Amino acid sequence: MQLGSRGSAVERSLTGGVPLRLESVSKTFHSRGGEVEAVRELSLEVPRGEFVTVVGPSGCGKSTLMNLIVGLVEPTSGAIHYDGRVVNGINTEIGYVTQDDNLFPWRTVLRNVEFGMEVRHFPAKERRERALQFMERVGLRGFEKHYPHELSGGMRQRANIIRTLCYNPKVILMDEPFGPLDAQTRLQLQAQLLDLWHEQEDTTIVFITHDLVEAIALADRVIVMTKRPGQIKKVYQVDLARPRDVYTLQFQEGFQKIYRDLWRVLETEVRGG
Amino acid sequence: MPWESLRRGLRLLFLRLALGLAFLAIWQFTSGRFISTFWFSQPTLIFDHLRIYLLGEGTVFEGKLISDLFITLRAMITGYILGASAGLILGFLLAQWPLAAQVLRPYLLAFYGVPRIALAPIFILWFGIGIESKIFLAALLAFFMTFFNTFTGIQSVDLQQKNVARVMGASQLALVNKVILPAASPWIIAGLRVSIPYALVAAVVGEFIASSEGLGFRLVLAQQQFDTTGVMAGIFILMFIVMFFNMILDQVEGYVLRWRPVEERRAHGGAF
Repeated sequence: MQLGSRGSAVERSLTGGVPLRLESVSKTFHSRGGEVEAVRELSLEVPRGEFVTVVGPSGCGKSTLMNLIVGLVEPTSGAIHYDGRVVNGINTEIGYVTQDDNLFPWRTVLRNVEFGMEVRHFPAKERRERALQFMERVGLRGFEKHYPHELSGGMRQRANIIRTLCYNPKVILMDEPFGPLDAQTRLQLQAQLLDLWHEQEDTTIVFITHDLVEAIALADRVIVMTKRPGQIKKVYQVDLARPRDVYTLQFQEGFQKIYRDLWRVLETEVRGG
Repeated sequence: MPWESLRRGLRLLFLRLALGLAFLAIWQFTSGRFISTFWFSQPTLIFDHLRIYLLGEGTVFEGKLISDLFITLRAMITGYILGASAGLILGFLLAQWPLAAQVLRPYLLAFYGVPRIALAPIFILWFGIGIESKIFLAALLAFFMTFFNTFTGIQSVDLQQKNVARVMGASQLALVNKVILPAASPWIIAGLRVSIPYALVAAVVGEFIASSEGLGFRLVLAQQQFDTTGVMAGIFILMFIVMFFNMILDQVEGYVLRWRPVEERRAHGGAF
């Protein structure tokens, strides 16, 4: 595994700026059952090139946070800034990898991977080349002409991730993309994701998970959210050296301490639920 | 795999033919022995009738098959194309415009509930006993099934899939072409398929009521002359027409919906 070298997030943020900034964002949903306050007064800055993970008890508004950032849901109050301007409506400069793979069942795997590039008018040749490259990287070669229903859950999720990565959005949101997968497949995909992220200079990732080990293994910073209404409880800097080997990271010095620190923060939220 | 599917296809074809032939054989044998040939006719008589209908020379029905087929199919196909296109377009537009759909809903359902074939007399009053009344009747019947299926299909497209496409930067046009229409295609195809027999029924019933040519006219003529064989022959022709168009649609469906899992296609009635 040949990895590019990256500086720390702090270093990069000084040169790269802050593409994503949330300014006391709140969201309340109105429904027949009454009002549900999903997210309250949430403020957050994500520097360019950083890998942020978000953990919290289930139902803490993590997915709402994602929908807010990408513009599928409008904040009740507060604002979301992208590259210095306030975002209204869907922000197509942000990539969004959803929890369900949402591949199009009528397209072959290759044509699914090409979809983003297709609607963004990449030249046909470049589109094909990039799609095949990415498929090669995550072990999907040989499945170009298969339809999604012919693949395993892990393979579908790989296709889901690379179809966003390959049109190269500068900020990518990922909503528990490895949630339904078995432990071994998760590790493989985590490793592949980190590799791809290292290769794509300056790509910022905001990654939701309920798995604390995963959150630490991937992140520069871990954000712990409270139970609903979701607020930021703690922001934790993960100072584990990169590149990381997710397969052995848990046994590495320092990991257990970070895990204990974070679990103490999270525990009260989970118990309270 | 192709061998296996070919073998299964041949076996199915064989079983189907065997069933049909067995039925005809029992009919042939019992007619005149246990059941009355006058009321139930006989496969050989029907075959003879069809031969004369196609090749004979005379004034009642002899040699009229080709021109009758032409007349009825023209009404059916023209009406089908008109009605199905209107159903597709209106179903699509109304699915984009929820308010209009809600306003129109009770009227459409009421209209849908009426046995539409009961409208045949009024169409004949309006458009005369020529082919036009049959075309419009076929169009009306083909319209409804296509319309409802298209409308439902487009409304049932998964919001998440649409959002994924939007976030990736799909324009409204790309969204329609690359997501909404493909996602709704199983519904649309099903609508197009069930509309075919409806269009045929409309054309033939129109001819029953008032006409001077066509398969339906010839059927009623045979009925009025107590010619069971003639009626049976007409029914056979109609069955062949439906089978023929279903075969065409099977091919279309097999191609357009080639991405669907085989079991799902079967569950949708694709096995026919």
